[in-house]
Amino acid sequence: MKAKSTKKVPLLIIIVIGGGLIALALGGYLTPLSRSIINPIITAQTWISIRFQALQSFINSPDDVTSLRQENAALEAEIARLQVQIIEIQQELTEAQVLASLVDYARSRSENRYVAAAVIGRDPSPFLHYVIINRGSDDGLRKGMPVVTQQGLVGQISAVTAGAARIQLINDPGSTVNVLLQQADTEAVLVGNISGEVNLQLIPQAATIQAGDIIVTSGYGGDYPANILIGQVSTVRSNAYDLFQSASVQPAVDFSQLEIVLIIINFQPIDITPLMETTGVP
Amino acid sequence: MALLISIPILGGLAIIQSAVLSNIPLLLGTTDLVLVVLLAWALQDEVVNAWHWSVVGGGIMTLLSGLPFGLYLVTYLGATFIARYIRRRVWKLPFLGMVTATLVGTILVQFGSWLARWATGVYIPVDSVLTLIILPSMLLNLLVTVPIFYVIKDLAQRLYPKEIEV
Repeated sequence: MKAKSTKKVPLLIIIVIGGGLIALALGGYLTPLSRSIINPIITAQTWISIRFQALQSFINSPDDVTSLRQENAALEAEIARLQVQIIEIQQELTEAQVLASLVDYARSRSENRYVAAAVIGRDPSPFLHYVIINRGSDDGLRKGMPVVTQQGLVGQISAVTAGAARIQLINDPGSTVNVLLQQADTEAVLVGNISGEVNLQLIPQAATIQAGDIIVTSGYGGDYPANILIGQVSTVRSNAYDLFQSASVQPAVDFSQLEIVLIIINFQPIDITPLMETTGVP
Repeated sequence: MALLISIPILGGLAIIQSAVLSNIPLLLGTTDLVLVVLLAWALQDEVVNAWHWSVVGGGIMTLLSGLPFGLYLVTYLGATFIARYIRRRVWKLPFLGMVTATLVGTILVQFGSWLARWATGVYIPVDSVLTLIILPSMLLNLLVTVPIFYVIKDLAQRLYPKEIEV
């Protein structure tokens, strides 16, 4: 009985002390004491926490870099895709502008019927100034049909397959076009050159020609319709002892920049070769 | 297999030549990719069907070009003959053979083209042909000789693997 009562005494003391401490704490009397105890703990915890966070970010940083790299790659791919789209749109805009000017040209010459074609290549041989277009006999194209752009005469079709055709440009060394010098009202022959230039030959000595004179097709020979612009005279070569004058020509068409051309499909070239054969004629 | 693969390879090269390389000339000369590939192929020791490749390449170029029918066929076969001859003579120095074959082959093809145009009534002065076409074409062909030779060498080794004696 005595032992039991002695056990209860420390418990009672603890309860009293605890209750007293709570009462003191609620009364705010323990604040300085608790602060002096907690402050070092907070300082230590802050120090450890900062180091831990630094360590954690160091450990996790490769993941961040990887995700950033992935995001960067995705964004770069998006930029590349958009740049391609911009280029395509610019190309389409340029094509639309070219087509609009071709339509204007076709409307201004309503007597002709046209088929538009894209230039898809050049002859692989440097000896030929030919281009290849993406239209052929399936689209009504035939050998000999004249080819133009809104700027002027390009050439004529030299070969046709079902889906493509080859055009001999007027600056090909084998090309000859009968032309008319409008200001001088005289005829001449336009010939191509291996260097890509075009020259006028067989200009009568009596004709007065000068730089800037406009050259159009004459329609003679049956190869081309009349009055298609070719270019203008740039320099004249005239010697008193020559039978004819000659001249260099600045073509209206830039043959190195051909993209879309028009083929005049209602013009059929006329073969006048039988009329020129004189052998055996009495 | 080697013959079948020649059609897409040479066809693709001919398209690149017509659509791209013809638009970037040096003076008037252009790169003849098909010719250089045919020469590189003919110079490989393992290759047995160089003539077939020449026929395929010449046929494709004949279709694309406005030059008289068969001209590319004849000149490419001639160039292949030269390459095979050179291979027998300088077999220890294949790259030297490639350079020589490129120079001679280019002259042969371009000279043949010039003759063909002359025969069809279009005379082009020799000095213009030499300075504006042949020399620039030779230079352009030589520029692509190194990469093409090694690519074709690799292709030949893949198509004709060497037998290992056990």
